[in-house]
Amino acid sequence: MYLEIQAQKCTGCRICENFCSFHHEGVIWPQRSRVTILAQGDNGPFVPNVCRQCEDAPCALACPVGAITLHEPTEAWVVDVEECVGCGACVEACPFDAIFLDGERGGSLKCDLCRGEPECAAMCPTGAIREVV
Amino acid sequence: MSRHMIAVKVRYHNILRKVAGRTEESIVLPVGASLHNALEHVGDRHGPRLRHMLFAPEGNVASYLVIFRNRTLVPHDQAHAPLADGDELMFFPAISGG
Amino acid sequence: MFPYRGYAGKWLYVDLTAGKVEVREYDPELAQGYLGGNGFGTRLLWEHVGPEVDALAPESLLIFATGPLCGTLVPNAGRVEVIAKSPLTGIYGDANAGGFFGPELKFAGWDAIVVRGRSPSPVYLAVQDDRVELRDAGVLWGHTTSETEAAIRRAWDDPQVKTATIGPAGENGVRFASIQMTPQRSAGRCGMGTVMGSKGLKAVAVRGRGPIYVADLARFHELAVELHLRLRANPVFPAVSAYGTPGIVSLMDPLGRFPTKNFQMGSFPEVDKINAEALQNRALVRHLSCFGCPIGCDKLYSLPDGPYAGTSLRSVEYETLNAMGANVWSADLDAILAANRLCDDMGLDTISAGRAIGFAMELWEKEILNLDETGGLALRWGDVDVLLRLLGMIARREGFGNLLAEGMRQAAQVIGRGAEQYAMHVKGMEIAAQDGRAQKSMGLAHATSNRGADHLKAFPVIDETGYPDEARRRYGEECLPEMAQPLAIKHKPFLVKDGEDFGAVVDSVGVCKSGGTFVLAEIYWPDIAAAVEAATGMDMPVKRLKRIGERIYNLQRCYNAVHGITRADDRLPRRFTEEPSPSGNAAGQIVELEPMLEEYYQLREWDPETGWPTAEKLRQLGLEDAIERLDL
Repeated sequence: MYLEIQAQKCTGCRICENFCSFHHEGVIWPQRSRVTILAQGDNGPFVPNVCRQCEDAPCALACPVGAITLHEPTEAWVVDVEECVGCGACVEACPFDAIFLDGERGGSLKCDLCRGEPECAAMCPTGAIREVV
Repeated sequence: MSRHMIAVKVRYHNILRKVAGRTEESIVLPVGASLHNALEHVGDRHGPRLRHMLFAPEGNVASYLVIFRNRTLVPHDQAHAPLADGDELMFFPAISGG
Repeated sequence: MFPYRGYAGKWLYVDLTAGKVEVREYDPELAQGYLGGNGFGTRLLWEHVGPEVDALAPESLLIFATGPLCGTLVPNAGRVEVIAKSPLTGIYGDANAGGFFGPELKFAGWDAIVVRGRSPSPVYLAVQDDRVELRDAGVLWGHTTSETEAAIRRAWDDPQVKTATIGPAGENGVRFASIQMTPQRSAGRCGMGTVMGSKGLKAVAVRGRGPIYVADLARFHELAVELHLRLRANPVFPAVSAYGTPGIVSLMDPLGRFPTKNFQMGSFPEVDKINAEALQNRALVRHLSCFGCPIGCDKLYSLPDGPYAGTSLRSVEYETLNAMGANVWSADLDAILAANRLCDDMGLDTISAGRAIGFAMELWEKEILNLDETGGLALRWGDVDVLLRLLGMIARREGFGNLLAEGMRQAAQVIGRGAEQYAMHVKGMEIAAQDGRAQKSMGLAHATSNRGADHLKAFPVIDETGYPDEARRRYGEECLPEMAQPLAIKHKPFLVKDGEDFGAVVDSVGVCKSGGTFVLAEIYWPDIAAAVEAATGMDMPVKRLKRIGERIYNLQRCYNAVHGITRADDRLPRRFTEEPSPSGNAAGQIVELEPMLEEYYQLREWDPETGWPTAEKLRQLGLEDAIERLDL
């Protein structure tokens, strides 16, 4: 499974960021959303930026403690929050800026495809983010 | 028009225009044809996507279709009244606003 | 600790005279009785801005108020209210804007900002989460709203700062100045920008990086998903999403509901040149959305060539296409976009500004105005150079623009010589792009709205073109066919009252009326009640929510009553009540206002003599202090 992005369809509504952060954190908190809308100004163009779930994930390779592993059913790379030491090597390694450090708790955050039912894709009203199985 | 036929102009608006593939057209109907007949005519002509916006599944006029005949709103219960030669119909999706 | 989620639980009190900012705790009882938004603002005006306070005096309050649903997961949750006594009308005033400013304020941890006093020199309020301070705005004063936002973003080295700013019009005291909110969404009506300018406050700039909490996570999520999916499946959704509000331009024309030449007519012969299709063919760049909205009715437009080549803007709405188009007898789409952009930059309400100019053009037509008075400008119908020049003159209060800047009612009084009969306003607020002769409920709505002629307080849509399915769902088979018929008056007083109460709630929780609640007619009392309950943890049966709506609306009415408003002010211009419409479906119609008003007062339980709430009604709503102040 992966998320297909068609950026030209994005209207900048941020519904993805809101639902993503709510799913993972239980609050509406764009700063903790695993998907980020990149924008050249308020009027776009907009690009939903999220983990590509790379085959040979640079973040997983860079992690010194092996905290990032592949979840077979979804083929998503998942961060084990218990194992993560917050060193930031994964953030350095990611060519897409799709993984980031949680400023408060210190661990790294990334898209895990919501364990198989990605919220952003379900709630995106234009199909800019689509779930592809 | 002849004794047996009437010509009616139909104008599509908003998303109906996209679905019908045109802004307006002139259609020819038998004398005594109603608004309902005109809708059936263009529905047949332009396919199921348009038909779906003109008619409810049960076959009556779609409740979210707004119709003007010569710039007067036509209530759907008058859809079977006969049209006249030269009538101008306008079709809109129901929409409101400020 | 504040007992409810959804709220931040605190607001900012800004004293510009002293140059101080204080944190205030949100009063739980205020939340219970009024929720937020215009409810919060109405209560504060009632308590602190009496008839003795001029709208532009330092003691006047300027209130920015979000609601408990703003910034959350429910669809269309991006709205924020601005409330103040209106310098245009002298009574209750408010304006509402979408975009991203409201949610940013919530993310920063604030429910509202209340501004009082007057700064000795221009300032702006800088809000960065819990770090709040007043900063010098000397270099910003005089600049357009766009320039101001860009300058603040450069100063903070942060392109994601959200701002609420005034332009030169607000600085110059134009009585219908707007506040522009990121991204150039207008809190347009009632002169909220004028109040802001009178205080020396150039902008409020916000950056919020915190979370918004809700009470019942599972239930709230379930509800939000359901509402999103219902909106996306709604039959009106595709058209609104494709074209936005301009999509109704061509529809209002045959209805006779497209005011033309200062309401002389309800249809415009060249409407096809300024409709949604023309606009998109000419200038569409992309589709845009406000915070949390699946509809995405906003669009970015840019003119590729012509005399205004390069003009780029968003939020070109139905109202502006009318006010700067048909209203002034112009089919020049490019000029409309240029006029819209100019108003955004200067911070001018496009509705009041366009109507003022249409009014002046009719006076010119009727030879009531001459070249001396207009400073050499020939106010000919359709002259877009005059239109654009006059807009600039109004913003800068130059020449004839200085008189128009006072608002249509005042301008008519000053001009005299019969000008008043052409001044299309109610209670001093210019009528927007509706004609009660084409939609009777709207005639009543204009006459009764608490902020003066206004379609948005009641916003009757069920009978605009007719949504009979939704009418049946909400009010039962018995209300048909009239409830869905624009020209019928039966049932309309109820439609207006219910709309006003529901609208008061929608404006107190922070969701958009051009979305699920009104235009799509998909989200109604039970949905908002359930959403408020799940978000806040407040017990909110529908009956209680309806009480809140009534309370807010009645208190606004009481506020207007102490400012001298009576039944006599619930009127319409004679053009609507005596001159039959010449146009389209409305041909031959007038507004039968009196019988609708009678029934409306009965439904509201107001005294039909005075038009004021009765003591019994106020007691029912817990407004005993109003009974005292109104001496009932």
